[in-house]
Amino acid sequence: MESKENIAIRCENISKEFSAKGRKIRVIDSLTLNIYDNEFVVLYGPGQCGKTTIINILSGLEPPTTGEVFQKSEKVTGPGPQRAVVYQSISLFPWLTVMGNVEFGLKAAGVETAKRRQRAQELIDLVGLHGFERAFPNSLSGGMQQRVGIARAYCIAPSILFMDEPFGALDAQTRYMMEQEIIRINSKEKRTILFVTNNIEEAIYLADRIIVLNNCPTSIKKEYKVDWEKPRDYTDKKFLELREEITSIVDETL
Amino acid sequence: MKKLTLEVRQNFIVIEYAIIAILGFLGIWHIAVTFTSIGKLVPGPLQVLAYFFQSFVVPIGKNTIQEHALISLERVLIGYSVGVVLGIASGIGMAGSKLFEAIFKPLFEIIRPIPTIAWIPLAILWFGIGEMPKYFIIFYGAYANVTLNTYAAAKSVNPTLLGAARMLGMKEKDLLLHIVLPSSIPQIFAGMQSGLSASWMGVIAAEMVKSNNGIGWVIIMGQESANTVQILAGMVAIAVMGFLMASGMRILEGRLCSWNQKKI
Repeated sequence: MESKENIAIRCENISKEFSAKGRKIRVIDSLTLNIYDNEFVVLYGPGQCGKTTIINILSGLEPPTTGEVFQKSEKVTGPGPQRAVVYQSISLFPWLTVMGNVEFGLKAAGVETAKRRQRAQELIDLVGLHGFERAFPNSLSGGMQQRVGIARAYCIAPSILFMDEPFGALDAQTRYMMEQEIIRINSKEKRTILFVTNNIEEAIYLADRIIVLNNCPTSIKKEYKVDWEKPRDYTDKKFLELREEITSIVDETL
Repeated sequence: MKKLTLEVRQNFIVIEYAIIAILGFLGIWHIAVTFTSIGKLVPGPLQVLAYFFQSFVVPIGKNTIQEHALISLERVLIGYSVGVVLGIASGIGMAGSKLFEAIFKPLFEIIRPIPTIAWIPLAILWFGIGEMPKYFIIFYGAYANVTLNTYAAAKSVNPTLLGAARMLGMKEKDLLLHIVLPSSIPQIFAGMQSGLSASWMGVIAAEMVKSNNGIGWVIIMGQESANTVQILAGMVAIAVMGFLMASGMRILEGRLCSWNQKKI
């Protein structure tokens, strides 16, 4: 499965430095990463290390200080609809309805109204928001807003989806429900996903592969393949053992 | 259904209190004028309201009071619409172009503290005594407020929204119209509100300085003929017009910015 041809996105030796008050701060240190087609990869790391920066660099929103990002054979130089992002801050367009938000990408691409409405409706139905097409984001709960964010990202049929702690702002109950939802949605609309979290249960529940990160500057500490059937059981013995192991190696870093 | 009746009832309470407050004010005014020496300086509310309603049929100068009000309103609408349209364009332009910003921002900073009415003498010298100086004053009041508010709003647009639009494939040239402008609308409205007050103040002042009609002229004529009742009737007309315009703006804002209101 893992050959050169089916690498969806790869970054080679990327580093990122910010300068603050005349001092240079290294956030990411020579990170090399391959993500394969249809893989669900979770970047797991504690605290405020450069996880969002990794997403920004891979999606093209920020350039790395050194190193390069390639999607298939193409170098990533800026943001674009081949690399969709679901944000922690959700970031819907508040002046557009649910439909307006979901069809935004297709409208920007010049897809004719009837066609894009049909596709957007499919996604709205898929994320469970049928009947809310004409609601404005402000009138929806946080969980429903993030469903719109997910539908908006899937709607443009990107080859890779970045999810930057998408459920970080939600309460525990909603979060648990959304984790199940993302498994269900992604089984219907299969995409390559890079998912960032600082929640270990979320990581093990979702991932095909977990990449554990070192804290500031961010680099890869260890990788775990998780190849059991989804959806997974939080109280399963394997689940608890893996959780224990990852927690123990992360604790050493702190 | 229960929630709706509660809301309606609360609205009724607000309206009741407003009516009680206004009637109370008129009552105190009436008592003060009838029973104290204030009556020698100021006419009572009944006299003013009688004159106000009488002026709907008996003209003051050449026009009835509603004609004067409509004349002032027409001037405001002309100057104000031009000011709003150009103000939005200038504000967005300043936020979108570094060159524009570098040239016009310092100019606006200098002009900003000068009140609208301070321009009246210059406007009359430049444009003569016809309608033009009034349009200019009204335009200026709206333009300055709308430009600065639009500019501030457009500069503070959430960068994550811009990033999201780029990520979804929107071209750079479309961001200004499709992201920056709509996300600025609530603050543009705030600018339009203060612009409308500035324009309305400007037209009254300009009419008081040089005019043959309009509400400002009604007031200044009252002063020249020592007719306090006429002055107060003019002020009543201003209050009514101001209230109607502010309500109109609120309705328009409710329609255009319904997405900005939290409904829980």
